[in-house]
Amino acid sequence: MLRAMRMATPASWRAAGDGGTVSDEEALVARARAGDRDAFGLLVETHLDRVWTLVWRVLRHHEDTEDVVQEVFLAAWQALPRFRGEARLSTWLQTIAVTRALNHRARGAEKLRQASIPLDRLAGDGVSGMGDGAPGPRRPSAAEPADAHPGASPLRALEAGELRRRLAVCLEKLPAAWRAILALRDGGDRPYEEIAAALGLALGTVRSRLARARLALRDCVEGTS
Amino acid sequence: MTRDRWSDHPCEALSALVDGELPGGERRVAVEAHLAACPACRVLKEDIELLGQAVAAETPPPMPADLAARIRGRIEASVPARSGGWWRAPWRVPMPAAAAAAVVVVALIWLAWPGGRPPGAPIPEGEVGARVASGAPDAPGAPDSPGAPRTSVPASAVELPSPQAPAAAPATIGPVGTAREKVEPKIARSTPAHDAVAGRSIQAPPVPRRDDGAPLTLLDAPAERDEARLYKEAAMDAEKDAVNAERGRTQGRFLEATVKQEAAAKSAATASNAPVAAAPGMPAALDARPAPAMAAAPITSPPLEAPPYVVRLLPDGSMSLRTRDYQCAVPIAPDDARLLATMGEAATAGVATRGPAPEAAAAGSSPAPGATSSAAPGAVAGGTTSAAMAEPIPVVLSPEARSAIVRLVRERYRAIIEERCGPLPR
Repeated sequence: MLRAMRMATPASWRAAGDGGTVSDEEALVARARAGDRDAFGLLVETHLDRVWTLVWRVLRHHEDTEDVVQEVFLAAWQALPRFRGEARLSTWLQTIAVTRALNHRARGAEKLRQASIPLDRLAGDGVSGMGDGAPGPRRPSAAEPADAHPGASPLRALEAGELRRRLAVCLEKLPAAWRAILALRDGGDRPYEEIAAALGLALGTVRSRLARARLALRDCVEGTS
Repeated sequence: MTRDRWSDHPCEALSALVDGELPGGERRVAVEAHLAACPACRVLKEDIELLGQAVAAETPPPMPADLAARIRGRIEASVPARSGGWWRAPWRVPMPAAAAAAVVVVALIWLAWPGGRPPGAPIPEGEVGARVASGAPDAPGAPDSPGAPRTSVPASAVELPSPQAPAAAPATIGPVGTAREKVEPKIARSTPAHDAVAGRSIQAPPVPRRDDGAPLTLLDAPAERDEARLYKEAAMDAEKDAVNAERGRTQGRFLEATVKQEAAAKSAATASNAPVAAAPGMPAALDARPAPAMAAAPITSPPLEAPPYVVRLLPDGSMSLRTRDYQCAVPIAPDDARLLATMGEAATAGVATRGPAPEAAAAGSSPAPGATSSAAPGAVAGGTTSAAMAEPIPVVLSPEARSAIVRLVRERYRAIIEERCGPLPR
């Protein structure tokens, strides 16, 4: 069912693809760079859905998303003369979007809001279990969850609606930076290298942060009732 | 707890494996072998896949139907700023990120100053005080270079610095964002105390006006040098930025303090027509230019919103570029981080900071050789009040340090900054 939902998601970065051929977009970009607002308006319409989805996945706040999405396109318009075309426009917009969203989140009341949420468990900086050391032989451990997982994930047993509800709750609890990386990877199917470029992180950091985010999300969803 | 439960499992590698980002080779073979033998890891892998699908399937709320129209409206409103306004001279080199360009412009002015010490360079406190007290518009020692015309400045133009001095700053590139409406009234402000200190009589000159009747301002005065014109444009760009700022987000007292110091030093420079320790990069040619509206402007205390740029070295080694509603952090090369750290240490050494210490300064306090920290408080204060002298001040970077920071921001990292955070604000 989830796979079907994913395929049906019109706004995901994965599914959205390009709003036209590459040459069409390049022509629009060229016109927009020359100051053609109509051309840029077409580009906005093409990419608005994806930018909206990405920003919302980072911020999870409707009004903030509205503000940031506008900022993103305004910034893109102003920076377009310097867009060198080395990356696709969608990638470039995605970078602007995620950065603006995180900057927005870093300001204002978000700090207070986050501070009021007990994230010590989720936001621990460095889950040692995320280490990428050699796995070594399988050995039982009293602390490990093997007994609790007799071969099947408890998440699988959840109804789709319940899973969505828990997921929404838990995603809001995650730090925005973790949501951003999940939005880019799971929501956008972006390769690690592109995520690293968008977030200004080292590749290894992307790998470890993504793993931490996923493990925290899993624990949260599993433990949320 | 998560970290306890999974400490013996290659979770990071499993996560990468799910994404197809785990390279082949021995590492992958080991992970797959572990996975085959570890039921918990198999469950974890399934969960990662399941949650990934659920995240992708999550549907955001519908966007407002008029969002595209609103974006278009904002773009329409921004078009003059992008394509050039009436104030832009034909020769003008495009400066899309005007405030950042102002940094460069001011720095270039500074660096290009023929006399070695630019008009804004600090001089000993006593010297400044003597000049101010002399009351002579063309006090001895005033720069005679072409860039600093010996212009008689009415006494009413003098504004001595406020005792409410600002907090100290990290290595600051400024003044890049002196908005016209912020600078203008401060220059025009005059009090009997000021004039008494200056030892001059108050003669209000006639107030030239624009065609629309508005008083001419300092920035309406004809440019006398290309540098001055560049600076004027930079200031006007910054003004637009200030006007267009969406909300009154403040970056704390520092920015206000920086602007206060900037204006104070500017006024002091104007009064003495001599080099005074201004905020970095203030060309005295502008300060010495007659300001026709100065006597007519009301004595007001306008809000100080002009956005200087602040460049900081963050603890993680990245560089933060910040102004009042824009900030961006980009990773920089270790050598550049060391350079910033060195400048931060040098620039803040000896300055009594108040409030949060800048990251660059936190690394240490010993000045690095070759980089100067030259903002003598007395010089900035114009030798007027001990209260002002006791307050910390924005640091003044040496030309070398300024040039190095300009290179970092403009030449090396500007593209990265703008790609990450959008264009630098105007």
